[in-house]
Amino acid sequence: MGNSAVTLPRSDRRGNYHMAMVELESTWSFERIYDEFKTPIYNYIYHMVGDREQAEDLTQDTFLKTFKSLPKMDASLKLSAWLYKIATNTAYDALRRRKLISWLPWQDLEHEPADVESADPQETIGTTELVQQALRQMPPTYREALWLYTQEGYSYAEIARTLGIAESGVKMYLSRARQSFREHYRALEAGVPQPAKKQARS
Amino acid sequence: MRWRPVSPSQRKSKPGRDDRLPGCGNKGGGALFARESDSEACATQKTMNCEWIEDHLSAYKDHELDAAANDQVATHLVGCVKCHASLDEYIRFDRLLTELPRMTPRPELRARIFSSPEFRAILSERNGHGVSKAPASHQLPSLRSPALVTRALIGVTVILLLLASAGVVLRSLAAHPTTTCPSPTTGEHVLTRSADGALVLGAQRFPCAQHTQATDLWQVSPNGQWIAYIAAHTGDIHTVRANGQGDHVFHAAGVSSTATIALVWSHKSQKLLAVTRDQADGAYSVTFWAADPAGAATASALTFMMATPDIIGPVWSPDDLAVAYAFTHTGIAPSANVLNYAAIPTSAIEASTPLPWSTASSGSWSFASTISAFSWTSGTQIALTAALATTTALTSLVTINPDPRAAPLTYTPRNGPITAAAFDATGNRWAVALSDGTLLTFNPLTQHTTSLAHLNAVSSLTWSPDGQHLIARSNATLWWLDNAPARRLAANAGPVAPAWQADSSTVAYVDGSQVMVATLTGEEHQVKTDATLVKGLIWSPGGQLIVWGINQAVVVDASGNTAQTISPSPTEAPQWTSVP
Repeated sequence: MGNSAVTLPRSDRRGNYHMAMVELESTWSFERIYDEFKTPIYNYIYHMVGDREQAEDLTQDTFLKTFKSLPKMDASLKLSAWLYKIATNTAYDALRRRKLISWLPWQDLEHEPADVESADPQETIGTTELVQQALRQMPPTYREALWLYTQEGYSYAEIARTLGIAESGVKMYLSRARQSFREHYRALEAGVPQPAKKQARS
Repeated sequence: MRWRPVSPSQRKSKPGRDDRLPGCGNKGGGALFARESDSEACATQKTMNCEWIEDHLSAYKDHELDAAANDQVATHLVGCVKCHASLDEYIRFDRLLTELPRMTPRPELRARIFSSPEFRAILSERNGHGVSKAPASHQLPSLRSPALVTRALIGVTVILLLLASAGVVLRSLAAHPTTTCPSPTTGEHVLTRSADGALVLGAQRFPCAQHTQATDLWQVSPNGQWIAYIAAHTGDIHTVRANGQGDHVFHAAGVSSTATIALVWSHKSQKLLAVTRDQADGAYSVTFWAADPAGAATASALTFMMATPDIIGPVWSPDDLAVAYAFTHTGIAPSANVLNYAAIPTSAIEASTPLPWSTASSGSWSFASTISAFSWTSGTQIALTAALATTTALTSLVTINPDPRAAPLTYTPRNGPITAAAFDATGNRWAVALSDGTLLTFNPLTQHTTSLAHLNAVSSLTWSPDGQHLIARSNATLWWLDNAPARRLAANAGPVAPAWQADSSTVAYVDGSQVMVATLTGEEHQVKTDATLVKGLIWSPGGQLIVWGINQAVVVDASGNTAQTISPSPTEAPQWTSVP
C-alpha cells in the first residue's frame, strides 16, 4: 500500500513547556508552589494510602515540610523532585503506622476460598485496589518514575528533571518499574501473600 | 451458527506464572470469544536473547529506543510469543495506571495549610520576627540558580505536520469567569436545546436567566458534570458545570471568520477539545483548543493547515494525552487520506498560567484510500477501518503504530468486502461482518481473527460497553450475540441504532412500532408504543431512557413508566447531565 509516512523529528512527548516552569519556580511564592503541585502531589499520595481524608492530612504535612526545608534546599535540586521525595517519605511513614494497627484494605484476601480459579480476585477487591497495592509494594524510586509517566504523562526528559536523575537512567528506572509492578500485580492477582501483608497482619 | 462457548476455566488466567502466557492466543483481546483461527506467525519462537529484549521492552513500548535497537526488538517480537505477551502486559498495566481516578484535594485544604500554626511558624522564622497575619504572597528568593535560568532559555520545539506547506500557530485563550446561577437539584437531568437556541435543563433555561443562545455544538462531558457550548452571538466557547456554577468563556482572540466544528470532551472529563476552522487563501486551518475548565480555565491552541474543509474525528486516546484526526486530502495527491495525531499535554492546560507548549508527539500517514472510522487501541496504536482497493467498499483494517518508522499493518479479509465493522470500547477488538456472511472479531494488536458466526447481510454491529455482547443487524432482524446461543431480538427493526445501558445489562431497540428493552437475564418487554417516528434512544447512567422522537421526547424507566415529556421534540439529540 502507498504508505508515504512523513518522518518527523521527535522531541519529548509533552514538549518543552516544562522548561518554562523551571524559570518560574525561582520566583514562586508558597501559594504558587501549592497551587502548582497540589493536584499531582495529592493524587500521588491518595493512591499510596487509598484514603481521601488521610491523603489530605499527608498532603498538608508534605507541603509544610517542603516549605520549612526550602531555605536549606540545594539550589541545584529540583523543587518537584524534593516534593515527591517528601511525599513518598510522608506516605511511607503513614503506611508503616497503619501496619502497626494491622489494617490494610485488602487483608480479607486471605479469607477467600482456597480455589483461586473460582474466585476472581479482581472482582473481590477491585482492580483499582490491586493497582494501588502493587504500587505501594514497589521500590519508591521506580514507582515515582512509573507514576510520572502514566499518571502525569511526563516524557523521559521531564521525569529525569523531576526526579533529578540522568535521562539515560529513566529508561532503566521505567524498565525495572514495569517488571516490579508486574511481579507485584501478578502476585496480588493470584492472591499470593506478600511479605508486606504478613507484616500488616502482625 | 458456529459458536464455541468459553468455559470459565478456559477464560480464567493463572497469573503469577510465566507459563500462563497465551501460546498463540488472542492476546489482549479479552476472554469473550474463543479463537478458531490464528495466524501462523506464532508457530516459531525465536530463541534470541529474551532477557535482552525484556530489558529493552519498556523503552520500546515508549518509543525511546534508537532505530537499531527498535528494529531488533520489533523483529524479535514477531516470532516470540512470550515477549509479545510481556509487551501486551506492559500496555495493559500502563493503561490501568493511567486510568486510576485522578483525585484533587478539596479547596478547603489550601486555607487549612496557609492558616495553620505550622505555616505561621515557618513565616515567622523566615522573616525573623512575629507571626504574620493572613499572608498574601511570599516570594522565595533563595531558589535562584544560574543553571536553572540557563535551562529555561532552551527554546520550545514546534513540530509541524502536513504533506505540503504547513504552519503551526500557537494561540492562547483568555478566560473570563461570568456570573453564577442557582443550582439545579442533585441527580440526572435532561439537557436539550430549544427552537430559539436556548439550552434547557429539565424545564429551566440554562444557565439560569441568561439569554444565551447556543449553536448546535453543545456537548455534555462523559461524567455528566460539565456542559460545553458555543454562544451563537459571539462564537465564544463556554464551559459550565451542570449545576450552573463556574461558567467560563473561552474567547478566541484574533481569530477571524472562525467556525467551531467540533467539541470533544476527554474520557476523564478533564479536558475539552474544540476544533475551529478558518479559511484563507484556499487552504483551511484547523485549530485545536484544549481547555481545562475545572482547573485554572486556561487553554492552549494548536493550528494545522489542510487542503480540505472536513475532518474525521478527533478522537481522544485512552490516556487523554493525545488526539487523532483524519482528513481527505484532495489537492496534492489524488484521493489520498491523511491521518494525523498530536499529543495534548495535560500539564500545559492544568498550569495556572498559560505556558508555551507544542505537539510533542505527532505523526502523519497518508493512504490512497478512504478512512471510514478509526479508534485508539488501549496502547498507543491507532486502528482504522479503510477502503484500500476501492472507494466504495470497505476492504481492509489498518493498524498504525505512531512510530513513523513502523509500517502500518493491514488485514484484508479473503472472503470479500466488509459490510459492517465496529470497535469495542477498548479499541482492541473489531467486530467485522463480511459480504459472504462471515462474522468475526479481529484484534489489531495481535492481528488475530476469531470466527463468531455466519449471518447474512449484516449492516450494523453494536458492542455492549463492556465488550461482552454484540448486537448485529441482519436485514430487519436484530441478533444478540455472546457466549450463549444467539438470541433473536427484533424481527422488524427500524433504522434506529440499539442503545446499551452503561452497565451492559440492558439494551433498548425499536421493533416495529414499539420500543423494547431486552435484559441480560433473558427478558424482553415493551417500554413504549407508538415508536414509529423514533430518532434515537439515549440511556442515562442511572437507567432512565429518553425515547427521542419526531414529535416529542419522552423519558421512561426500564419498566415503561413515563417520567417526563418534552414537547415539541428538540432538533438535536437530548443529552444527560448529572448534578453531584
